[in-house]
Amino acid sequence: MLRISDFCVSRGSMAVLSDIGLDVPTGELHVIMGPNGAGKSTLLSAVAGVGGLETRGDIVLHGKSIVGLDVTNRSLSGIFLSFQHPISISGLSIISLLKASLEAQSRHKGQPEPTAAEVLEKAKYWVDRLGLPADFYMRDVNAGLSGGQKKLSELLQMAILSPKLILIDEIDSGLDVDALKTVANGINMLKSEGATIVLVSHYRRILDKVAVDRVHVLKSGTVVSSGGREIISAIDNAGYDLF
Amino acid sequence: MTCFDELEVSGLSHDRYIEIAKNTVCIAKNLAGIQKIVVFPTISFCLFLFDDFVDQKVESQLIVVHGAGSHSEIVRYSILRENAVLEAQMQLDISLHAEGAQASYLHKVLLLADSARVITKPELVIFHDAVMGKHGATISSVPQSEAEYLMARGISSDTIKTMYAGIFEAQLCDLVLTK
Repeated sequence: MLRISDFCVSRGSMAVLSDIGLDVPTGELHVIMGPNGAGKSTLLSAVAGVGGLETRGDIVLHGKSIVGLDVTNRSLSGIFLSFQHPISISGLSIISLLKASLEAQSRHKGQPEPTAAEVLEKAKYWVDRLGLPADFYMRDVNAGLSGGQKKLSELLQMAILSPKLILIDEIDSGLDVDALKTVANGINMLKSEGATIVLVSHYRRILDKVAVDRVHVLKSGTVVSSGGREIISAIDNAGYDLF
Repeated sequence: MTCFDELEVSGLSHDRYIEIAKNTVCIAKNLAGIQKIVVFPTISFCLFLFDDFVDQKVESQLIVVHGAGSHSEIVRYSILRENAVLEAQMQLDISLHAEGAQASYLHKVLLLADSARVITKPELVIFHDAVMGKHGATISSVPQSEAEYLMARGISSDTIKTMYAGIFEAQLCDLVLTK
């Protein structure tokens, strides 16, 4: 369960989010929609601890407050942020990143670190299951990848790192029809395995393909409406002036 | 173990005078002091320098004197960690008698700590028109955006530094292997 309460975020002297309250039960997929500049990406960044944002209020994941944790420890506590604009790192392969990440997770849990063979086996398993190119994990982290491939790289990472909470920021941007299916199937797969997911998107082309439990509308830095899938259709028909 | 631990390191050492009389590819690690290298006419000389310093101040001066028609290519990769200070001076000498000589020098530096410092000073001393001489230097650190991306994958800042040192070193290994 993710519980965000009385949560405010500012960037310098500018307030970006105010009085956010959000409950996402374990295993559910919640969608955040809202007009440009509403603060959707900022909310995900603030939960993941990236971006040097100033925050007030509380974020509780599975009964433990995470607001005192830095970005690394939030990740180690089970949070994965899929970036809207994934960073490229030339010279570092996806598999090397995953190995370092899985090693860090194991150390954090006091477990033996995985061997290179075990990491490779896991990568092969997920590449196959997600329907990605066989040697995809050998590519550099987002360097030389198209916009859509970068999103597939994020999908592969979130699958292999098996986080408790997945924050997905506009993963559908830049995806062709086939890649969109791959990503939607991957998200549904991870949800069916128990991950809690918060997905930011503008478009129903992906929302129609994933198992949405609840939709929240963010406008001017605060949640103005929450409900079921009917909100997606309403926004599609009438825009955000509804709220 | 780094890839340079597995490579044979050249005879370059502190305060030496070396004459290069045959085509040579040379590798050295953590070079300090003063070295003067004379490259004989028509000879090609390639030198790869790799540094990895922590908690020390290092002064390094390299003087490469070129004969007529000689070629030199010097590439230096320096990783500087906590409290490392490197003053690297490279002098490429092409005298009046060194017609047709070609000299190039590239220094790439990776700073892995706020306390690390580098002064890189290339000098081209050229007295002949029909020659080519070039130099360049880049100084970088781990970009904040990349560090944050990796931290968002649970990787500590110490591990990130190790990863970037590995990437940097691998770039030089690739260059060496092309020779």
